[in-house]
Amino acid sequence: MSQTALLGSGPSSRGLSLRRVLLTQNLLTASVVGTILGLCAYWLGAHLDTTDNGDAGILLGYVVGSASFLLALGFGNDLLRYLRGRPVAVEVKSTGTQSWTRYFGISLDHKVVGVQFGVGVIFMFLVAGFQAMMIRTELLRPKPYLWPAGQYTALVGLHGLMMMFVATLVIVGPFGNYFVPVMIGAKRMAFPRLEALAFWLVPLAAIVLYSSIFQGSGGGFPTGWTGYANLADEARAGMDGYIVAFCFIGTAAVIAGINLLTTIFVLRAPGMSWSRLPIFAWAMVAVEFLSALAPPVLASTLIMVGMDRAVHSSFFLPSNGGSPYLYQEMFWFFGHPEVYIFAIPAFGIALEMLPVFARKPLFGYKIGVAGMVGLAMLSWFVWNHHIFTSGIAPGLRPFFMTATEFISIPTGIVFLNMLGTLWRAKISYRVPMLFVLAFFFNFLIGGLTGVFLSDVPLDTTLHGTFFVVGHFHYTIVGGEIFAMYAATYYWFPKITGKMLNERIGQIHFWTAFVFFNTTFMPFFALGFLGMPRRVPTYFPSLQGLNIFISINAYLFGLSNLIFIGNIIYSWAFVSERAPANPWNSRSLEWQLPTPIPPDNFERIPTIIAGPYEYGNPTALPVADFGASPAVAPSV
Amino acid sequence: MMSSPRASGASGTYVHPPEQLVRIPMVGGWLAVGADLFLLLPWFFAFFYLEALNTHHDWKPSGVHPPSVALGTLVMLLAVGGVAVYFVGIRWLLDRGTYPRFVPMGWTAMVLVVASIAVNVVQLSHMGFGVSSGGYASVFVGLSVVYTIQLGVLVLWLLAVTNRARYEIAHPPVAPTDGVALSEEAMPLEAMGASLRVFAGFLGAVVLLSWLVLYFL
Ligand SMILES: [Cu+2]
Repeated sequence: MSQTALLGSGPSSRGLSLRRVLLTQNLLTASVVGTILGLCAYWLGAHLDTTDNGDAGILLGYVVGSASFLLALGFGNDLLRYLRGRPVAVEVKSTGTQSWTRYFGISLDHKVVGVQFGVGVIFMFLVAGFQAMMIRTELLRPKPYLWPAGQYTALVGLHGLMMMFVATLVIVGPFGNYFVPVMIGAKRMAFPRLEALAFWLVPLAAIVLYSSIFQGSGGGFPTGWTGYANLADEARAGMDGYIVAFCFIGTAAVIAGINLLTTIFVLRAPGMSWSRLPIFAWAMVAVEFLSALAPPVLASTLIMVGMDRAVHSSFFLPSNGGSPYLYQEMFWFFGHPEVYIFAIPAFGIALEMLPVFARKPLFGYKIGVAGMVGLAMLSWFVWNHHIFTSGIAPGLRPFFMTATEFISIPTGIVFLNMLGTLWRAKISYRVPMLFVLAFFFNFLIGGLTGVFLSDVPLDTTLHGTFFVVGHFHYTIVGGEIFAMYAATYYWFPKITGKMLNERIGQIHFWTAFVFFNTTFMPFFALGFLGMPRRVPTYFPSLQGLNIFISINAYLFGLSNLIFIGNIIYSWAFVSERAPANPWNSRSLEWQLPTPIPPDNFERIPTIIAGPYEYGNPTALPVADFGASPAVAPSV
Repeated sequence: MMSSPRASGASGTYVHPPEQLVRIPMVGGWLAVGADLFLLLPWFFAFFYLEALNTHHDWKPSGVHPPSVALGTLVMLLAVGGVAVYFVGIRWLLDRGTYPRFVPMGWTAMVLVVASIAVNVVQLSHMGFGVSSGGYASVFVGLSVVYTIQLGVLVLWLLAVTNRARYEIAHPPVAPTDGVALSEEAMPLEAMGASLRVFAGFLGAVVLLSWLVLYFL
C-alpha cells in the first residue's frame, strides 16, 4: 500500500470516483464506521446496564464510536507500524498534491492542520454565538416565554461549554500550529501525527456535545459549563455528552501542549536562542505548560462523574461516602489554569504585533516573558477564589484572596510592555493594531473587575450574578477573541495570499469594539442590581437594561458576520495577491514566500538577530537562509 | 518504503537534524509523564480528601476492607518486576548496543506486566465489596482501573520497542557514507527506548504508591 493511502489522504490526485471514495480511509467511510460501531457499543452497553438512564451504554457508545472513527480515518496505521517494530518516518514527503481534499483527512503538514483548526473553531464560534443570541432573545422578557427554565439552563450550558472549547483552541489551534514552527525555524512539529489527532478530536467533541440535546427528556445538561456534582451525578442522560466532549477537548489540549512544547524546546533553528524567541512563541511556552498539565485533572474528575453515573460509585454523593466539595476543588484546580489558557496566548498576540505597528523594539521583552511565565505559575495557586461562597474553611480565604490579587502584578507587566512600546511611537493604525489596542482596553476592564471578584466580601455579594458573567466575557471575548481578530487580520495574507479588505475590516473593528462594550458593560450594573446568571426570570424593573443589552448583543453578533463576510469575500472573490511581507515585519514567517512551501525552509536557517529591532538602521536581517551548519541550539 | 534509507542527511536537507531527532522522544516523554502525573493526582487527592471527611462514616462502611493483600502485593511485584527487567535490558542496549540481548528482556518485561494486569483483573472481580460501597470502594476501583489501563499502554510501548530491536537485528543499518550518522528519518530505537524508560519508571512508582495507599492507609 502506498504511503498516501496509509495516511488517509487517498482520493486526491486521481479524481473522486465513487469506488475510490468508498474503499479508502476518508472522512466519509470513517464517519460511517464510527456511527455504526458507536451505535453497536451503545446497544451493548444499554443491555449490560438496565438500571437507570442507560449511562453505561451512552458513554460506551460515544467512546467506541469516536475511537473507531479515528481508527477508520487512518490514525491506527502508523501505530500498527510502531507496534510491529517498523521505523516510521518523521514525515512522508508530500506527493505534490495540493488538492482541497487534504483538509478533510489526516495531514502531517502543520500549516494544513492550522487551517483545519481555524475553520473548525470559527464554525463552533458561530454556533455558540448563535446560542448567545437565543439567550439574549429569551432575556428580552423578565419571565420565560420561549424556553422553559430547564431548557434555558441547557441552552446557557451549551453556549458556555462550546465557547470554552473555542476559547481553549482559538489561538493555539490555528495560529500556534501554523506559525510556531515557522517562527522558530523548524520544518515540522515534533509530533505531526499527534497534531492531526488533536485537531480531529475537536469536531468529535462538538458533535458529542450537541448530541446531548437529543438525550433524555428536555435534553442537554442542567449544570452550566462547570458541571458541578452532585447535580451532574443526578442529571439526565445529556450529562454524558458533557463528560465525553469535555474529555476530548482536554485530550486535544494536552496533546497540543506536549507537541508545541517539544517543538519549541527541541526544534529551534541554530541561533534561535531563548532571548531571540518571538514573544508569541514564549506565550506558547507559558500557556502550553498549563495546557499539558491542567486538563488531565479535569479528565480524571470527569471520569469520576462518569463512574458515579454509570456504575454508581460515590465520589461526589454525600449520602454514600462521597463529597460534592471534592468535585469543586478538583474542577477549579483545572478551571483557573484553564482561563489562563485563554488569556496568555492573547497577550502573546498583542505583544507580537505591537512592535510591528509601532515600528519600535518591544519594550521590556525579558520582563514581558517573565510576566507571562509568572502568570502561568501563579494560576496554580488561586483556584479557591471560585468557591469562596461554597462553604470552604474561612481560614483559607485570605490566602487565596491574596494569591489572586498577586496576579495583577504579572498582568500589569504586560500592560507596561504595551505602554513602553507605544511611548513616542509613530503608530500605524491598521486593522490588526486597532484590535490590539482594543484588546488592552477591554482586558483592562476584565482584569480590574477580576480584582473586585478576588475580594472576599465583594465576591460574597457578587458571586453568581451577571457581574461575574460580565467579568469573564470582558477577558475572554474582549481579550482573547479580540486578539484572535487581530491575529486573523495580521496573518491572513501569509496563510491565504490575500489581504483582508481594510475598509470592511475598519467597519468590523468599530462595530465590534463599540457593540461589545455596550453589550457587556451593563452586565456589571445588572450584577450589582442582583440579576442571577443561568436563570431566565429576573426583576421586571431590569427589563429596560436587558432590552438595551439584547439589541447591542444582536449588533455585536452582526459585527461577527461582517468579519466572516470579510474572510469569505477577501479569500474567494479578490484576485489581487498580497505582498509577501505587507506589514514590513521582521519575524521569520514574513521572510518566506507566500504560500509557505510544504517544507517551510529548503534549508534550516541560521538566526542572526532578534525579531524586534525596528527603527535600528544597523540591525542585521533576522536570519541567514543560505547553507546552514544546522547545529542544534543549546537549550 | 521506509526500510530503504534515504541519504538525505548528507546534503543537509533533512526534516530534523539527527541530533534534534533523538531529543524529541525524550522531551516529549518527560512532558507526557508530567501530564500523567496530573492525571493521577486527583485519584490520590480523592483518597485522602474523602478519607478525611468520612461523610456519615461511609468512607469504609462496615464490611468493607481492603481486598486480598496477597493478590495486591503480587500485582505490585509483577508490575515493578517488569519495569525492573526493562531497566536492565535497556541499560545493556544503551551502554553496549547489544540488540540481541535486549530482545528476551523486552519479552520478559512484557510477560510480567501482562501477568500483573491479569492478577489485578482477578483481584477486582473478587473484592468482597461493590464499587458503590462508599468512598474507599470508589477510589479503590477507580485508581486500580486507571493504573491498570496504563500498564496496558506500557505493554504496547514495550512491544513496539522490542519489535523494533528485532527489526534492527534483521535489517542492520547501512554504513554511513561521509561521517554523517545514518540518515533514515525515523525515530532511532535508542531514543524510543530511553523515552520508554522514563514512562516505565514513573508507572512503576505509581503502582508502588497505589499499593501502599490502597492496602495500608
Ligand atoms: Cu479563577
